[in-house]
Amino acid sequence: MMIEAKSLTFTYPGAAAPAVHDVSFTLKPGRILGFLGRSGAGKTTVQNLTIGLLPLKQGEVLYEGRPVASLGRSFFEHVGVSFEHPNLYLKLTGLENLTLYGGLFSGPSLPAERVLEMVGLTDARHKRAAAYSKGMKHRLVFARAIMNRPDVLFLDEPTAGLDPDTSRRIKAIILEERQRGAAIFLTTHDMTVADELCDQVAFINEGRLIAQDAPRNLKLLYGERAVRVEYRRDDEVQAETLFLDRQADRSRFNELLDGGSVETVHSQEATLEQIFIKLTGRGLA
Amino acid sequence: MLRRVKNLLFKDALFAVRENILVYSLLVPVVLAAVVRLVLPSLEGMELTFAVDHSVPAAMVEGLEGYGRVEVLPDRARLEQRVLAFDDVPGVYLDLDRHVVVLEGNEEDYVAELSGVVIDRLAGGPDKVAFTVAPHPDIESPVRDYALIMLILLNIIVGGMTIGMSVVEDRQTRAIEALAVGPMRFHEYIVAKSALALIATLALSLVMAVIVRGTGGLPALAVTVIASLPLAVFVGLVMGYLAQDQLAAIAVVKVIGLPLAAIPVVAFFLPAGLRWVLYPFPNYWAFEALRRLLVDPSLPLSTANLAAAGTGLVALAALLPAARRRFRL
Amino acid sequence: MRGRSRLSALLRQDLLLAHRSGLFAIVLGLAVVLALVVNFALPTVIGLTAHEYVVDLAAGRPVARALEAAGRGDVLLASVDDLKRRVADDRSAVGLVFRGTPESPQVELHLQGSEPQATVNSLEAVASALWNRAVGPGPGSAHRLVELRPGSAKVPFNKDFVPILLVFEVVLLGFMFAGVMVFQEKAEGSIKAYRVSPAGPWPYIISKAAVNLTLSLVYGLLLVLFTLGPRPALLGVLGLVALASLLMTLFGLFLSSFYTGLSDFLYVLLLVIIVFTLPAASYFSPAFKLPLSEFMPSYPLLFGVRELAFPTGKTGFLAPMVLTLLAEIAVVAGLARWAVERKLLRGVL
Repeated sequence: MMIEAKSLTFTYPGAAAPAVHDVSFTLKPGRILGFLGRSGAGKTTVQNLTIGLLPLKQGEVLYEGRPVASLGRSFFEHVGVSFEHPNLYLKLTGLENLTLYGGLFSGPSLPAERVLEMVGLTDARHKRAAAYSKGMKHRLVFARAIMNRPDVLFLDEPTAGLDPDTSRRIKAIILEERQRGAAIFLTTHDMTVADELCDQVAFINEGRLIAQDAPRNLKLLYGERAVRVEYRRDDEVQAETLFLDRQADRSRFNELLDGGSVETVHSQEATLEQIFIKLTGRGLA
Repeated sequence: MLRRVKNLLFKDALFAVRENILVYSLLVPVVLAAVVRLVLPSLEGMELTFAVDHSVPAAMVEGLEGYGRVEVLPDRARLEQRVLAFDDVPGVYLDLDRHVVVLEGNEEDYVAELSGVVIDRLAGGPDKVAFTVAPHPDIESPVRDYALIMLILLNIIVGGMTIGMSVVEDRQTRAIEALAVGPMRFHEYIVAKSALALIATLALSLVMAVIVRGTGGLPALAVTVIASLPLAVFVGLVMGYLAQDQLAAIAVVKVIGLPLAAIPVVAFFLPAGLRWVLYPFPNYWAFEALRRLLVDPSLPLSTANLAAAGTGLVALAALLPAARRRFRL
Repeated sequence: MRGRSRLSALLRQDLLLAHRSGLFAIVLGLAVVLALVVNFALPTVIGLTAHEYVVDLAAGRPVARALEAAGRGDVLLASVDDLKRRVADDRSAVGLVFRGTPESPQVELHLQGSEPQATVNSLEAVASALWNRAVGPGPGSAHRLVELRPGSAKVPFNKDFVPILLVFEVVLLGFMFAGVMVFQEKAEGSIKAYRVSPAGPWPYIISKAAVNLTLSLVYGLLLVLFTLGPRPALLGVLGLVALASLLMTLFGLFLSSFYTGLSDFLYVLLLVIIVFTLPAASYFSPAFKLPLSEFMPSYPLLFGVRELAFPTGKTGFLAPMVLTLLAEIAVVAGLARWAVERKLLRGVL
C-alpha cells in the first residue's frame, strides 16, 4: 500500500500564484511523512490534492500504482482524514457522530465506544458535539479518522491547540497506527511533533518543497555544531547560542570564556526549526 | 458609538457584496414588480372564456368576443374536452337553431348564469333596454393596488429576514461572542444590523411602486413604509433570537411566515366588525396603512401609520430585553 | 448490501438531525394551526366576484319586486345617492339604476371606472336579463343548458382551501428544508467529512429526499385528516402530494448546490415560491387563467389534488399527470446528482 504524488501543482481560482508548485512525495506503509511549514505554506493544500478534496489539474496521485481519480469513491474505504478545523454534526452526540459515520464504510470499523475510549471521550459520548470544548472536538474528529482502520491516514495539525496530556495521547495513537502498518501523512507547524513522530519530514515554503529527509539526516546535513552559553552581566543572566563552525561565533565563545562570567555551557543539537529558518529565512510561527 | 456602528455596517455590507446578496436583494424585488406589472392587465380584466365549435355562426362568435375571450375548437368532442378542463370555460354550440351552453357542472354560479344571459342577449336581437354610464373618475383597478400592497409587505418582511439572517450568521459563527466582549452596546448592534436592510426596504418599495403604478404619491408611500419598518426589525430579531443556525432559521421562517402572510389575507376577508381581533398585530396595520393610502383614501391614513409604528415598536420593546440577554451584549 | 447499509446510516443521521432541529415538531404544530384555521377561521362561502347594487325607479318597480320575491332584496337600495355612496365605498361594487317603462326601459350603470369593456357588456347583459324576467314573459330563452357532470357538489370555501395548503405549504416544504440542510452541512464543514467517505452523491440525495418526503407526508397526512377527515380518496391525494414534494425537494437540492448559504439563497427561494404560487389566482377564479400558468407544475397539481379530494367524476387526468411528474422527477434527480457531485463533493467549497 503506497501513495505516490508526482508534481502536484495547484492555483486557487482568482489567485495570482500557485498555492502548491511541483510537489512530489511518497507515502509508505508503516511510515509517517510530515509536512512542516508555516501557516499558509501549502501543507493542507497538498493534503487536499492528495485526497481529492481539491481537483487535480496538474500532477498525479497514484494509490498502489493506480491513479486515484480512476478509483472512484472506493478509494475512501482505505482512507482516514482528520481535519484541522472540527467539522462535526453539532446536533449529534459524540457517539452518534462516530456510529453514523462508521456506517458509511463497508469494511470492518472499530466500535465507536472503543475509539471514544482511545481518545478519552467515553464520559462525553452522550453529549452533543456542540457542547464539546475545542480540544474534545479535535479528539472526536481524530477518532472519526481512525475508525475504519485506514490504510492511509491524513492528519492535518493533529495536536494543534491541545493540552499536553491530550497531545501525548494523540501522538501515542498515531504511533500505534504506524505500528499497525498505516501510511501516515501529517501536516504540522510544530517542529517537536515532526521530530517526535515523523520518519520523514518535508519542508514546504510558499508552495514548494525545499527539503525532504529523515529528521536526523536533515539535522546532520544542515545542522551546525552549537553551544548555548549562559553568563552573568550587570547582575543579569544572559544567554547566547553560538555556532562553533563559524569564526565569529568561535571568537565570541572564547571571549566569554576568558571573561570569567560564564555560568553554564550546553551543547545544542540543531532543531528542525533552526534548519527551517536557515533554509527559508523565516521561522515556523 | 457611530464608529462601532459604521464598522459593523461596513462588514455586513462587504459580506453582502461578496456573497452576491446585494445583487439578489436589489434584483429580485424589481423582477417581481416587473412580473406583476406584466401580468396586471390579465389580472385586472378578468374575462370569461367561451369555447365554441364551428357550428356557432360567425356573428355569434364576434358577439361573444365582446364579452370575453373565445376559443374555437374543431368539433364537439374537443369542445366538451375543453369544458371538462380544470378552469371554468363554458362551451357553446348550435343545435337545431338553438344554442346549447355546455358546462361541466361544478362551475361557479355566475359562470353558468352569465353565459346563458350573454347568449340570450346576443341571439335575441336588438336590446330594448337603453344603457347609459354614469360619470365616474377614471381610476385604476384595485387589483393593481392590492398587488402592490402585497409586494411591499413582502419586501418589508424580506427586509426583516435579511436582518435575521445576519444575526443568525453572527450566532452560528460565534462572532457575536467576540462582540459581546467588546465595547459594542446592544442598541448599537441592532442599529448596525438593521440600517442597511431598512434603507434597502424603503428604496425598493418606492422602486416597486414606480414600476407598478407610476411616480404619484411617493412621499406619502415613503412615510407609510417607514412607519412599518419596526415590523421588519421585529421579524429580524425574532429570527435572530430563536435560531442559532441556518436550519433553525428556515424553520422559524416557516413558523412566523404563517401569521405574517395570513393576517393581511384574513384582514381582506374579515367583516369590518371583527377586524379588532387583528389590531394587536403590526403586519395588520402595515397592510391597513397601505390599503388606506392606495385603495381607500377616505379612511384616516395617519391613524394607521401611527398604529403600524406603535404596534411594531411595542412588539420590539417586548422582545428586546430577552434578545439582549441571549446575545449577551 | 453495502449500499443499503450506507443509505441506512445516512437516513438515520438525517432523520435525527431533522428531529433535533425541531422540524417534526414544527410540521406537527403547523398542521394543527392550519387545521384550526380551515375548520374555524375561514368562511364556508365567500364572494370573490363583483357585486351589484340596484335602485329601481322604473314605473311599477318591477325589478325590485322580482328581486324581493327571489329573496335577493339585500341588493336593493332606496336612492341613487345611497347607491353612489356604496359604489364609492366598495371598490368591487357596481350599481344599476332602472328607470323608464316596460316599453322604454333605461338602465344607468354606476361603475368604478376600471372595468374593461367586456365586463361592462356583461353587466348590461345581466341588467337586460333582470329587466326581461321582471317585466314578464318575454321571448323564451335562446339557449338550453347541458351539464356534462350534473350533480357535481360545490365544495365549501374553507375545505376548498385545503388543496391550496397541500400544494403551497406541504409540497414546498422539501424545497425549503433540503436546501438549508445542505447549507448547514457547508457551514459546519461536515460536508467535507462526507466528501472523504466512500458514499457518493446518490445516498446523499436519496437520504435528504427521503427525510423531506417524510416531513411532507406527516404534514400532509395530519392536515388532511384534521380538515377533511379519513376517507379512501385521501390516499390518492397524499400520493400526488408525495410525488410533487419529491420533485420540489430534488429541485431544492439542485438549486442550493450553487449557493453558499441561506443569505444569498433566500431571494431565489422567494422567487421560486412566488412563481410556484401564482396559479392560486386561477384556483379561486377558475374562469380566469393567468398567462402561461398551464406550464407551471403547480397549476395542474392544484386542480388534480382538488379533483382527488373532491371527486367530480373527472377521469383521465391522473395518469398523464403522474407520468409527467415521474418524468420531471427523473430529470431533476439527474440534475441534482450532477450538481451535488460537482458542487458539493468536488471542487473548492
